[in-house]
Amino acid sequence: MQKTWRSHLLLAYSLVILAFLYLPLLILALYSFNESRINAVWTGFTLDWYKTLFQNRRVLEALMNSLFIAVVSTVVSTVLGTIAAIALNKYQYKCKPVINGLLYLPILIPEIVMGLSLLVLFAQTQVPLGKTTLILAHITFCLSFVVITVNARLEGMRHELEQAAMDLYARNAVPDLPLCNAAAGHAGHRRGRADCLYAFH
Amino acid sequence: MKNGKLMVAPAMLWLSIFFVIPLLIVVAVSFAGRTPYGQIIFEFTTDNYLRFLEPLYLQIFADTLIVAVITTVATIIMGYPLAYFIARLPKKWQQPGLILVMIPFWINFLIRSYAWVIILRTQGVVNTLLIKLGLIDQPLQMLYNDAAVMLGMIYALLPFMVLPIYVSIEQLDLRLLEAASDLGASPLTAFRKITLPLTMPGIAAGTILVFISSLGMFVVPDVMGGAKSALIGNLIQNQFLAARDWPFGSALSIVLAVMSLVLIILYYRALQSQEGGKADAKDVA
Amino acid sequence: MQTKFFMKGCDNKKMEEMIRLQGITKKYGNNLIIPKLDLTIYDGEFLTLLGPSGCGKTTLLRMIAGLDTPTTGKIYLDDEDVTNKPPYKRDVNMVFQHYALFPHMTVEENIKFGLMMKKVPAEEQKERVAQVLYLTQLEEFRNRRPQQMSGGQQQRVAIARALVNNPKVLLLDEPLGALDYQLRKNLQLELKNLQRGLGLTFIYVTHDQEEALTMSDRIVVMNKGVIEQDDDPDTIYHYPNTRFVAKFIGESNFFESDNETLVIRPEKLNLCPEYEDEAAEKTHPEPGYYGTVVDVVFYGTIDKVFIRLDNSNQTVVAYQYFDDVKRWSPDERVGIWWYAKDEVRVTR
Repeated sequence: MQKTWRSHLLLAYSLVILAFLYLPLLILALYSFNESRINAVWTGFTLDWYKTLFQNRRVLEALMNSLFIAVVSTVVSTVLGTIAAIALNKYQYKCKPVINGLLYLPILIPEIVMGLSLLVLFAQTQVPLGKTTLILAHITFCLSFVVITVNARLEGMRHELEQAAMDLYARNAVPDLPLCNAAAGHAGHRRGRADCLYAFH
Repeated sequence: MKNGKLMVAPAMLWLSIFFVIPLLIVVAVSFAGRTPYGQIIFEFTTDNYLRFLEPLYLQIFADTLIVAVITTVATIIMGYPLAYFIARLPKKWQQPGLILVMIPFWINFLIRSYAWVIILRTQGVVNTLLIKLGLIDQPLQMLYNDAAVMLGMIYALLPFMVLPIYVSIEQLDLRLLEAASDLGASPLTAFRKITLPLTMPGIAAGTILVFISSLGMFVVPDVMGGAKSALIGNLIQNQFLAARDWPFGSALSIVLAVMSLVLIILYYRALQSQEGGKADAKDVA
Repeated sequence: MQTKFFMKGCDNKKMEEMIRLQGITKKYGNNLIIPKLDLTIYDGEFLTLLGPSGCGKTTLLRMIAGLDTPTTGKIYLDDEDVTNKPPYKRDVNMVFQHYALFPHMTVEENIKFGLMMKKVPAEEQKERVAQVLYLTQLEEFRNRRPQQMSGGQQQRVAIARALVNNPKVLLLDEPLGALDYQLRKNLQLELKNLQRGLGLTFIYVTHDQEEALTMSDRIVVMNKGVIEQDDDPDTIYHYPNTRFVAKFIGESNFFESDNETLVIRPEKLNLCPEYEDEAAEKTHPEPGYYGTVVDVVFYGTIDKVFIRLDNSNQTVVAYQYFDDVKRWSPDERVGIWWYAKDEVRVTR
C-alpha cells in the first residue's frame, strides 16, 4: 500500500540523519582506543590515552571544576527561574513588556555577545576571572531558558486543568517538569560553556 | 499578594545586573578609543563602526549571513522529517527517540567538531578508506573550507531544530488530518494544508535558535574552517583575545546583536502577515 | 422539499440501498472488535448506531468513512465496492466527535476546504458556501476562527463543512456529546429537520438512548460488536429482542422464569392495594406479584415506586401517574398487575 512505502521512506531518512548524528561520535570514541597517534589507520587497541588522561592532574582538576560549575549554576538558575515562572504564571504584571524583553533578549542575541559583555563587565569592575565569574555567567545564560520552559509547562497545565476531565495529562506534566527543566538548563548551559571556556581562558 | 508578585524580582534583578548592564557597557566601549597597548580611552568616536564598513569586514559579515541561512535551511530539511518520524512513533518510543537526538546536544561543540576533524583530515578516516580502496592516490583536502564549516554547523545545531519541531508536531491533533482526508485531501495535500501551517511555530522557534547560534558561532569555524573561513564570531573573539582591540570588538558585537534582532523581527513579521493577511483579505471581501 | 419517512414493515420498493456492509469483521491485533456483521442502510434514512462505549459503533462508522479498514468483508456505497478506497476518494463526509475544525482557518475557509479539494469552480464554491452558511445560521460568523466560537456554533460549522460537499451519506460521530443538555435538545431537533428537509442519508453514532429514540428512523443497537436489534425506535423501545436492549434503553423490570425472562417497562406496571374489594378487583387483571413499597421518589410528572417482591430479594420499579391513583408511601403492601399485551419475553 502507498502508506507503507511512504513510512518506509521516512524511516530510512530518519535513520540516515541519526547515523549522521552518531557516526562521528562513535568514530571519535573508537579512535580514543587506537594506538596510532596521527594516523586514522587502526594499529591496535590501547587504553594508554585514558591512562595519560587520568594521570594528568590539570585535566582532572579541570574536569572537577566543570562538574562543580555545572551543578552550582544549574541549581541556582533552576531555582531562580522556576520561582519567576510561577509568579509570571500566577500574577498579572503591568510592566509585562519589560519583563518579557528582559527574558527573551538573552535568547535572541548571539551568545558570543553575551559572553564578551560579561568579560567586559568583569574587566571594568576589576573582578578576577575564575570559577565564580564562570558560575555567574552560566546562570545568566540558563536563566531565560528555565523561565520560558517552566512557564510554557505551567501554561499548558493550566489549560489542561480547565478541561477538567483530562487528569491524565496533568499526571504526565508533573514528572516531565524536572526533566524539561534539566533540558532547558542543559541547553543554556551548553550554549554558555562553549564561549565561557573559550573567551575566558 | 504583593509579596507573591515580587517572586519575579530576583530573576529580573539578576538579568539586569549580568545582562543589561554589561550590554550597556559594551555599547559604551564600542564608542570609545584605545591606546596602542589596548587600554580603553573613554572618548566619543564612531571610528569603530566606520571601520566595520571596510570591504574585508563587510565580506566576513556577508559570509556569516550566508552560512547561517544555509545552515538554517539545511537543518529544517534534515530536522523536520526526523522530528515528524519521532512524533509519529508509538508513545513509549517517543521519549527514547528524543533522548537519542538530545545526547549529541549535551556534548560540547568543541568535541563534536574534533570528531569531524578525525574523519575529514588528510590522514583521516575517509581519506584512509578511499586510498585503501584505490579510489584516490592523494588524500583529498576536505577540511578548512566553507563547506566544512557548514557541515560542522549543521551537525552542531541540528538538535536545536529537531526539538521545537517535534513539540509542535506532537501537539498536532491527528483528527484534523482525518478530517482533511475525509474532505478529500490526499495525504500530501493534507500535509501541505494542515500539518505544515500548524507546525510553523515549531519551525519558527527552531529557525531562531539555529540562526542565532550560527550567527555567533566561532568554535566550529575555528576548528574546521582554519584561517580562510573566519566568520564574524571569530573576528569578534580575535579582537578581544588576540588583537586586544576591545572597542572594535564591542562595535562588532553590537552590530551582530542588532542585526540578529532586526532579522528575527522581520522574520516574525513575515510569518504573521502570512497568517493574518489571509483573514484580513476575507474581511474586506 | 423532499421528505422521506422510514417505517418498519412498510415494504416500499422505491427504497434504494445506499450502503451495504457485507460480512464485516474487525480485529485489532488478537482483539476481535467486530465479529461477522451485515447491515444495509437505505437512501434518505436516519439510521442510528446505538450502544455503550467500546461496542464497535464508532469503528463501524470509521470503516464507512474509510478511516479504518475492515479485516474481512466488503463495503458497498451506492453499489460500488469502496472497501479499499481511501477516505479522500469516498463520497461520504463525517462530522467528528470533537468537530476537528481547522484552527488556522476561518469558518468560511473551513467550509470551503472540501470544495477546494474537489476543485469545484470558484463561482460555485461561493454559492454553495453561502447556501450552507444560511442553512446553519452561520453567516455572521464567516470570518471568525473556530476557537472564537461557542461549542454549539463550532458544532454547526462542523455540520456545514460536511454538508457543503453534498455527500451521499453524512456520518455523525456523537456530534452533540460535548454540549450541555438544553443545547443538545435544540440541536437534536435542528439536525432532524435538516435531514428531513434535505432527504439525506444520516448515519448517527451515539450512546445516548434518548437521543437515538427522538431522532432516528431506525436504530441499530450494538453490543460487543454484535447487532442486538435493528428496528424502528417504537419497536426497539416496546419490544426489545434481548435483555441487553431492554436494559440499555429505558428502564426495565425483569422477571426470571425457567427458560425465559419476562420484561415489563416500569410505566406498564400498575399497583393496587394487597386487599381490595371485589368490585375494584374486577377492573384489572389479577396481580402477578405482591410486595412491600421500599421507596417512593418524586420525578415531577411521575412517582417512581420501588417495591420489594415477596419471597425474593428482587426490587422492581413502577412509574405511577398520580392524577387518578393514590400516591404510595413506604411500607405499604401492594399487588402488581399488568396487561398481557405489555409483556415482552426474551430468551437471551
